[in-house]
Amino acid sequence: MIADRASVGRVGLTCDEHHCITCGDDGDPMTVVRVDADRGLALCADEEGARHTVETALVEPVSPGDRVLVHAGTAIASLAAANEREAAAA
Amino acid sequence: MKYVDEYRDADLGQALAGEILSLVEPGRHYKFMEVCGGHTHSIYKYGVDDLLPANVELVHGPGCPVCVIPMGRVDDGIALAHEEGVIFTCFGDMMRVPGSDGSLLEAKAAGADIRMVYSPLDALRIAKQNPDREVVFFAIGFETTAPSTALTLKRARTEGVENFSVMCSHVTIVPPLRALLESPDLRLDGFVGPGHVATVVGARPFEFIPADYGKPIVVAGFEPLDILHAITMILRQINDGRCEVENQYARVVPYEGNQRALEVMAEVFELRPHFEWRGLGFISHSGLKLSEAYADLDAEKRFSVPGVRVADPKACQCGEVLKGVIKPWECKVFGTACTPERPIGTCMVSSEGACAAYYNYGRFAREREVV
Repeated sequence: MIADRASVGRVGLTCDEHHCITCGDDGDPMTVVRVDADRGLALCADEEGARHTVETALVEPVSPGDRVLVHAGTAIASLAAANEREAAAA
Repeated sequence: MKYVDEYRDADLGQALAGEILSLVEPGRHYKFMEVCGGHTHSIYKYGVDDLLPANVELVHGPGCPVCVIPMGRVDDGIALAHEEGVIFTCFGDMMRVPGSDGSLLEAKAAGADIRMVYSPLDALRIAKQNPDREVVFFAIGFETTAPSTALTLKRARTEGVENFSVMCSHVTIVPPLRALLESPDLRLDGFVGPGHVATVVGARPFEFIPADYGKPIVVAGFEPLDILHAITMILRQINDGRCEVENQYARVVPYEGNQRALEVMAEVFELRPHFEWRGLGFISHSGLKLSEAYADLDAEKRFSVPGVRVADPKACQCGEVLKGVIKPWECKVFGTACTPERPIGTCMVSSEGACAAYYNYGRFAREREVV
């Protein structure tokens, strides 16, 4: 594994002195835990297990267990669709 | 974790570094610009530059949304934050950007109610929790972030949240790239394209780069192997005599982008005639404002803002750094008067800024280049 230089890897979704998740154009992979379809929101878990309320309008429909890429509280891509593209490319 | 671990594999990284070495022509100097600040951060964080031959140079482009905000815009934000009854919200790095008389963080210390949020949705939540206060969200970012602001504005309208407004400083990526390509003092051989902007707008908007300027561009992901792979793809284009848009980040980026995101942006925003970029000056049609349909949620219309243009500090050379004309350490104040703790220029504020990334991670590479 390629290590980062200063061992300051992100822990959860934080803005700290080393990194601002929104300013950095980050996309964070998350897993959908619960869906509130009426309000266009989903509860999603990041890689540390922390939960976040996420806008899902750009990737609907989503279901629990789906993987999405989240930026600034909004799911901007579905990783299921990414899987399909990858399989098609292969 | 899938889509992360396999893109940080050290053996594959070494293999790609070997491939790059085999693709470069000895004696020729290659200059590639990574457009996105996220790439700059990854390059320094993972030491990608150390894996490249000495004749492959990476130039850090204008893709850090914090670094391109001019001082006058920060002053406008601070003025809004001092309005009676206002709660001013913004992303983390924006708090430390210096205006002509201090930063938002210093304004907060002086008593203004300024709160850091992770998303526009958080700002809207604060508005709902404080119905007797006016909540302003300072919206910055490229097309990656703009849909999030647009969706939140639609939600504010749907839910009838009247005490919420947005100071819109969103920018678009194509006009500054065109401005850079027109710049006479910049010679580039190719571009590493911005992966997450392309998730929204697609790879198609970058077709003007090979078509009009004869430069290859490869849209890339943000893991170290993504960046190395993108560089091999650019070199192959050069060696094959090809010049086109390629999509290294196809696992996330559809060539046509996210249509729903483009539609919501078209509904909520319209292009400003011109927008000032730090170090780059005014660029036509490069900034977004709220459309007429959402004008009632525009903080710049709801409140009075100074709107005064403030010249960049004379000592600061962010403009030349953003254009890749000089390396960060060649700036007169780099690491002395200007540090991440006390930044003069915005490139030293955000860790995606070339200067801060270099200051935090890049000293070894600097030594190598000096030798």
